[in-house]
Amino acid sequence: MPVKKQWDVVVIGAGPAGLAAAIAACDSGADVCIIEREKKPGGVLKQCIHDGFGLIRFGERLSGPEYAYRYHQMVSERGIPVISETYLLGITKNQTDGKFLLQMQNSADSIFILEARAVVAATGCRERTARQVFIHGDRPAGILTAGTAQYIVNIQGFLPTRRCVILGSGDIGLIMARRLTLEGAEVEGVYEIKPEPSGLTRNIQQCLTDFEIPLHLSATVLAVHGKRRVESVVIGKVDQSGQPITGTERTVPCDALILSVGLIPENEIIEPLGVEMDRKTGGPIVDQNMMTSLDGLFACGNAVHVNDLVDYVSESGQTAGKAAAAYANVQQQRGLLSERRTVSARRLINIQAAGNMHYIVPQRLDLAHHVGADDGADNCAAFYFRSRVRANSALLRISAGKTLLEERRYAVVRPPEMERITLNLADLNHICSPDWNDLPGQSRLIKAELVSVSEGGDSANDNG
Amino acid sequence: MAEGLAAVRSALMRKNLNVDANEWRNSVALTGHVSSWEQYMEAGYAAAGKGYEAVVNDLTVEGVVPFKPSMPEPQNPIDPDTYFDAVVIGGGVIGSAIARELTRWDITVALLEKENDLAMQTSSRNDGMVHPPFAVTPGSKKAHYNQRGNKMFAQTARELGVSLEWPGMLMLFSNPWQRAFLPAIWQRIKQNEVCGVEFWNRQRVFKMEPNITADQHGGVFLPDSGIVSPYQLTVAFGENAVQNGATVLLNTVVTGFQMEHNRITHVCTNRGLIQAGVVINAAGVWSDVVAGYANDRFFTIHGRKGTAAILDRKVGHTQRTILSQPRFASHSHTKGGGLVPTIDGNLLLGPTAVEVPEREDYSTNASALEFVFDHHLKLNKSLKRSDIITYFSGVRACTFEEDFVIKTSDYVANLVHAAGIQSPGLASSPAIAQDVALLAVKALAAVAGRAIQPNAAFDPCRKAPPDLRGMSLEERAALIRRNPSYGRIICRCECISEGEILNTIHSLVPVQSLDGIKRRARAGMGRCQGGFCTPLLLEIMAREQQINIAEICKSGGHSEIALQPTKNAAVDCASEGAGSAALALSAANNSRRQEDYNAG
Amino acid sequence: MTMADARQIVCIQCPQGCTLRAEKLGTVPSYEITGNKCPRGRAYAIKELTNPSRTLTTTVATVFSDCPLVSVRTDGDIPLRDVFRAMQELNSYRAKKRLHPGEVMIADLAGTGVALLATSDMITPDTTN
Repeated sequence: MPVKKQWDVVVIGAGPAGLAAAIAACDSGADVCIIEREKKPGGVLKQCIHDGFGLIRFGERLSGPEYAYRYHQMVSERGIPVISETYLLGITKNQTDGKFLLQMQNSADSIFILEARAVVAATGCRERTARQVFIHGDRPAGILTAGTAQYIVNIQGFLPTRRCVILGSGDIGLIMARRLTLEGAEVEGVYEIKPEPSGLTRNIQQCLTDFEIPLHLSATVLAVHGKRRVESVVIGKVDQSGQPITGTERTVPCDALILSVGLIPENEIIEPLGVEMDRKTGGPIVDQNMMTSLDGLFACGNAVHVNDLVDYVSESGQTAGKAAAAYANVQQQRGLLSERRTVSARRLINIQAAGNMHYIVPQRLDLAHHVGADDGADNCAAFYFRSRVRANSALLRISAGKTLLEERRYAVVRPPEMERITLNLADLNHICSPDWNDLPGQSRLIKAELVSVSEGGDSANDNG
Repeated sequence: MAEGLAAVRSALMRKNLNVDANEWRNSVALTGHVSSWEQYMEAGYAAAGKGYEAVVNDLTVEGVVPFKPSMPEPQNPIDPDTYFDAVVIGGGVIGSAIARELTRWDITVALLEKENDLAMQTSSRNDGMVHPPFAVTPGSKKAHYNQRGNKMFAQTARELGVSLEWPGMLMLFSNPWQRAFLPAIWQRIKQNEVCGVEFWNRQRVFKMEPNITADQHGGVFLPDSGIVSPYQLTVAFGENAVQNGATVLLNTVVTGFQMEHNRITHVCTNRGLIQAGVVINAAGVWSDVVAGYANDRFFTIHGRKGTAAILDRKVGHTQRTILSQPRFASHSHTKGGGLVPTIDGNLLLGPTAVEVPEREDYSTNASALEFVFDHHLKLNKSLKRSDIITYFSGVRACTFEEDFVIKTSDYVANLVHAAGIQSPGLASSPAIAQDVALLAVKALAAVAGRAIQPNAAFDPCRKAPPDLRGMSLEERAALIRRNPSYGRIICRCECISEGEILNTIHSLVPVQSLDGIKRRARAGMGRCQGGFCTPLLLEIMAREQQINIAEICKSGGHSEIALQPTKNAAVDCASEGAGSAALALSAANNSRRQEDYNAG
Repeated sequence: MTMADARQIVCIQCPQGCTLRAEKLGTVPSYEITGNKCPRGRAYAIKELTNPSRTLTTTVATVFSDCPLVSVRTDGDIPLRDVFRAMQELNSYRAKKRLHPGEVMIADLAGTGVALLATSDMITPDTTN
């Protein structure tokens, strides 16, 4: 297969992360393109017609399609090609020159190869299915994930149910409860196996309370009945360990079961490259430049960890795009000088999530390279974390060895709500001086600890 | 073992079962009432093997209402003058293979299936394994057809253009003392003529399967163990049959026979009468019920449910062979399942074996799934529970004799039975089809009083659609240049193109449902389980069949995915717009067109 | 939707979702709002006590075969009690003009005085490559 074109940066996916990455890479002078399997850019935002997007990026409450449109405009203004309706079959990395080869397929050009100095994986996430949360009983029509229901209602204009039960109180489930109600379907109730909701508080209010849709906590669907189409589901209460309580079963007649039981980052296309993964997030381990463990391969958005807000997805895309352009630039110069092959090595420190911190992204810091956060402060890096439990008063402590880098109090932390902080890396550079580097491995890491002062409920976050 | 009615009665007495046994033709019939399904099963097995051809188990069971075959939605009627020389009842792998074999003869053939596609029941709900003739009792019909069928499989798959691989099966010893079974195993291998069997010691097993459990003490490797897609194979049999002149009638359920003397004249269906020369009973779990329609219910089918789980293709590479760790000593009625690579690159875990009164209950439960996890997941230590992407159940059609029923009826001149087909039915299917077709042609010749000539135009090679899986990038690129629809990927998880989906919609046996597309083209079979591609499949199907999205079903009956448009305006718009003619076509019209296509 | 004298309200103005306590004081109403982290919260709470209103987002049919359905939202909040009436009106509405996201489709939606904006792009061709 001949190489069709060489790029500094190829961005995989034209969702909010990929669009932001491509814009940032372009603004950093890189020759960049976006590959996208769907017809139009925007990713899942195209079907997220509700508002609330862009409060941080644009200071407005936009709908998903509007948010996507603004980014698409920025991409178009820059003349960045979006190679749409094109499927990525696989990626390989040439060990000699460090370049990536992407095998592409579409109707117009059959199969072709793109070459890239750097790749940004902005591949998003998929929904956990009924089978992956071990729903039993029959398997008739009418069992679908909230995102699929959202596509059918918002893009295709059809109702997939007249009376449904929603399992899981993730944001998409809550949004769909309102959406289906508005379109004339009845939502019998939203059932959440955990003792507290998974979605944002404001969505409980504006999607459920506004429409008097009951939210049942510590309750789940035990079985589905129905030969051709869902006829009923069996609901049961669960105890603190999530086990069904005998005698609490209740049969609810309905024609659909809609699931909002978590999202899974999609990284199947980069996993064969041997990228190190984080079991907690389900995404690749990245440094503050959003570079994965593989040099030149960057990742961003929901492929790295599932975000609550698109604004942060775009932010991580921007970082990844900027860093990918910088990497490609160095690669190119090195190529011209050809005698120096080896990439200037990263100086990586691990960041360890401790205490009640469920995870923190990035999981590593590269002290040798830093492109800077979006805040304008070049020395800053953005971090995102989630608490493992709900706590009404929590203390965040980030320390390197014995040095405290950051301490912050939170009035409340909840697993469904991601927190963002920025750290000034200038502080780190003197702590992590070369002699610090000689310390034994155990102490050569940054510890990010979340301590609860008071704890309310014990709910592990299941978003990762 | 003692034989005869006295032996049956004393066996029932020993089990403390208040059951009456009487002779009926060559069978023994059980009547009475028992308190549980376990007792029903116990009674059936107690009466088996006592010198009778089969057990007719007519016991009523406390709390169990006799189940009936599910019925299709109302369909358009069949022309009352319709006649076929051969009518095959049941579009599973056996019925479809028989229909194809029958088209080798210059006769008219119809294949009747009550579901909306071929391979909807047992044939699509198994592990896809082409068994070596090892587990079968020497001298049984099962052993005979398993041996022959296994040998015929490679050629059959080649003719039909169906992917087939021979990864071999490794039966592991879980204890060193299990090696004591080796002499018995070698004897069985000799009796059943199992080819190429090797004993692998612990080290060899580790070398061949690096991810294998440490809990193994060597095992027996049976190379003649294959894997195939059971539904793709069934559809391929059906398509080749249609290609050679057969008619496939879907959504057509047999409700009885009209008889004259000891001969079936008409097959009664939900769509009217069909005149038949010879009738082949390949009705799977309902084959005893169908036999009963001709007053020839000399055997009884009982359902044995199996639950299996499918693992993500991501972990497919962790294992080469089919792994099992049988309990050699027990008299279980299945091998006990294992960890089976599928032809699509997944791994399959299971299946279980549980006796159930309902024959079409495909529901799953937590305990069955726990069983397959506990017993089989550990065989490959690189696997974890979160690798599961789905699970399903199927029901095996078993007799109390645990053997196939393959014969022309002793009492009905033009009825041939291919019943009681359970594992290794898939492996046996080419051989069963061969024999049953010959029996049917003989019966037809006798009742019609004429010689049956071979079909000179018969072509054993199916006009198979291109198989993109086996192609190099260059071949695939060339194919896309010829037909760009192969370039557009619809199912992202399994990398399935629009062209492959169109092939199922425009097949000689066209799919009528999303599940049909899923089974045949694998779209929606992957880790997102159709979350992303279901809406796209709806659009493609609506476009190709010129129907509204709200008419498209997941499987048969009323299993629509989209129920109604959200906007009144959208309906107006569509009916005024370019698609008006298309949308005006009713589903009934559409299915009629499909049948014209089949018949022509 | 009339309120008791004191109410707990979850603010929906931003993802923080602050829990506000709102109390109506006196007969000439003035309000005491606590728990809000920003002024938008106070305004929201008073609105919630007097006239709860929401942004409505939905879809409408069009006359264009390449985009038969487009997404829309109200340009600001409409009274919550008018939401279903507005939905009913939109169910039989059909957009006849191609718009960019953010452009006005209906100037006054269901007599609320609030405009309805297109939110998906009905103009730009599908692909940019």
